[in-house]
Amino acid sequence: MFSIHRFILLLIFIIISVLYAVFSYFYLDDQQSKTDLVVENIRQDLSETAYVISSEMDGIESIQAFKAFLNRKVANTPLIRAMVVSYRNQILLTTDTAITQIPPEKEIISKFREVSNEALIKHLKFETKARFYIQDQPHYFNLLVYIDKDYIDHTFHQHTLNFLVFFGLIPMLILTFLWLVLRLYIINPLELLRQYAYYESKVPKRFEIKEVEYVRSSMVQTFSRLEHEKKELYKLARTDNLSGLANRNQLNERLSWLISEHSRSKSEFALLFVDLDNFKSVNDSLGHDIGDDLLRNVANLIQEVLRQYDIIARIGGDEFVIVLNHYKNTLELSHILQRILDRLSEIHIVQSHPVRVSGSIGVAFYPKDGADTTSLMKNADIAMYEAKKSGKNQYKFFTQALQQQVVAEIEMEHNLRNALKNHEFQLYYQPKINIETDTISGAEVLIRWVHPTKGTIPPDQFIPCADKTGFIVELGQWVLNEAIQQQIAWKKAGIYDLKISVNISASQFLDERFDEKLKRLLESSRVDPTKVDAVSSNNCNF
Amino acid sequence: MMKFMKVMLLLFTIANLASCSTQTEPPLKIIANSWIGYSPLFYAKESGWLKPLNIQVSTVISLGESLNIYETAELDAFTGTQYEYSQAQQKDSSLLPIMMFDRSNGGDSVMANQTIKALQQSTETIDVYLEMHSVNQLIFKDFIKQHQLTDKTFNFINKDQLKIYSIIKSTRPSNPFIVVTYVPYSQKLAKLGLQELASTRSGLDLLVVDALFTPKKTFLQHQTQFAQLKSLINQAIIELEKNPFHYYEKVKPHLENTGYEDFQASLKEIEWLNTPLKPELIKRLNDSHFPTRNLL
Repeated sequence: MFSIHRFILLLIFIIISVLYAVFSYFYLDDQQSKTDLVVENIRQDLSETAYVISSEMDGIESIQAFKAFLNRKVANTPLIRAMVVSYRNQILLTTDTAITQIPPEKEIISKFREVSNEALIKHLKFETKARFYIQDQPHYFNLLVYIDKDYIDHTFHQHTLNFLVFFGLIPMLILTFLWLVLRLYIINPLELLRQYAYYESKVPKRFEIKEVEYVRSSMVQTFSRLEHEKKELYKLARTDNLSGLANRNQLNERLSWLISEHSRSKSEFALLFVDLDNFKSVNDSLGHDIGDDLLRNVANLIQEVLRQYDIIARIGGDEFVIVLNHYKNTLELSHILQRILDRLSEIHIVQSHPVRVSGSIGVAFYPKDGADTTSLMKNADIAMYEAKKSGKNQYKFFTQALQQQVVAEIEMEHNLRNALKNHEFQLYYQPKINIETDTISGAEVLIRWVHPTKGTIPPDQFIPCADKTGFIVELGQWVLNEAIQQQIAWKKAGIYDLKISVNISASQFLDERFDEKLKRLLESSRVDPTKVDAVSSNNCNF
Repeated sequence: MMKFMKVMLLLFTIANLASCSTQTEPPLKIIANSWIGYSPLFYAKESGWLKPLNIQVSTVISLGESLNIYETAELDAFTGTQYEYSQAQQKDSSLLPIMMFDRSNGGDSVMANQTIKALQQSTETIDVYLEMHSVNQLIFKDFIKQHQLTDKTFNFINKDQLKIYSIIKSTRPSNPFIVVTYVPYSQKLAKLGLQELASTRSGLDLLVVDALFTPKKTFLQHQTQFAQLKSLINQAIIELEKNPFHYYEKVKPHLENTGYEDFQASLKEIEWLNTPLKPELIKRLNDSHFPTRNLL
């Protein structure tokens, strides 16, 4: 594959070669034509002169009468330097007295066909033989012509010089000029475009050639558009669409950078996990549009409270993460946190609706509470939940105790799920006595966890955890199912047809599918619905 | 449209190149002297018939000059008698007679300022004006042999016919002299008072024919052109028979200052040989080493 540079050089080289081959051929052909013309002139002169002499001379002695004729001929013909008449190798007449001897035969051209330029320049002597009569006897004399060397040299050298100038130098100059023009207007612009395309170096200046300029302007437009789109995509990839704050990607990126910076300086920064309180109810009651506008408001408020260099990100529905690394001490940090909480708890006017929300903030410190992004986020989240649990609209710092509590809760949830799977839960039925009739009017269902190693565990030790983790919905459903089956079994056995009371937790009631599951259970078991009493509980009564 | 233009341009270029190549073909060059027998050649030239055949005809005064130029200028063909043929053949053995023009039937003659008898009786040196390097020489030798003049002393004056006429006209020599000549110069000399002593019609044993000669190689190379030329020569003779005056007007510049009457008289001094030759003539030509097999 050629570069355009080499390609054009090769093209010019081929053009020069072809032109010079043609010119050389033409030059040689022209030289020969000129030689032929000169030789033909000489032949005509010789023929004419020889004929005049041969037809006019009456004998050898009369040859002197032609001296004036020959001198005139030489004087009139710049091509001819001298003419000599010889007879039997003796010079009878010469126009140049310096010529005293007949030149050797090999130095004389006597055949006029196909005389080369070299032979003409080399020999410079031509000869013809002419007949004359002494009475009726034919005799022959030789007529020699000496060519003027300077004239021939000048003629052919001038010719050569003209060729060199007009067909050698001028085409070369034209091609050099063409090369420079091509280089200036085509090759260099293309090279600049190549560099621009490859390295995205500086934008080339406007070009003179229309097509090249079109390519340049198209490239500039395309690159600008791509650059703009790249920035847009980069921004989109790092920015939260709704709030315009940093998203999780940007947060992770900036946090990683911040961690590496602070690991070197061994300094501290704080990661705040902010969650709006009661945001779900705003969404549910006023709609998602208002919810979105509220989030935008909150984002703006946080930006107003904080400084430019603080990192603010929205990482979920109503979850924000803030990274603060420019505070003098915990007191200043507390003031900042309080300012955020105060601004959040102000009444927000969203689409003419006064909305009141608050925020719960969990705080974790680098490196004390986590040396990496994940642990910092997790611990701040734990602290945030602690704040929520403690009544919302407040902030909590992450502590080891919190950590342990969370670990315990996680372990508890895991054990509870295993317990359900392993049938470790048992139901106890506490009879209800009608004092007036002194009869059993019903039974209240109580749950116990019979742990294989720890023995019977009362509900107050696991129900709160089940409620907190959401496991209470699954457990409550199991309880309801078991209790109904037991009621039916008793009835079938003819022992009791008691109304059983089952405690239903608030979480169960809030479960959207609770009604449907209850109906299906009642239908499938064919229990008398009046025999099942669902009682809302505060959990501890399980 | 662009494609059509390109095709047209290509065809135009090819046509131009083709026409260039035709024009660069060198012409067939023939040299002839001012002889009435070659007038069909001049007629063809003046009628513009030779141009399409790419044939060039040049005219000179004398027979000797014609041969000389043929040899020095290396032309393709020349006209002449069997004498010029034999002279030229010594240098180029491939030379062939390819086209007959005429047979001299009084056209070549020997003239003098005295009668044969007076010449026979003369003891003075007799000047002989002739074109040495031509058939004149053969005619003269035949003449002195036929008329018992071989023992006389002659002074040969080698000039072309025009010069001979000029010298005699201007000097009017009184000493005995002989002129070997041919028409139209014979007619001019007759007007100066010279009397014809012998001619190819009577008084000479010599056969003089006029033909076109060329080397074998040239003949083969230009055979078609020569064949076409032969047709044109025949056509020119037909034109002469149809309208001699018109013919004369065309060929006049090539014949030295002859009037129409002289021209008509000259025609009687030759016999056209454009038709197939008679067997006895062929035999006579062959006997004198004049090949006839290549004649067109």
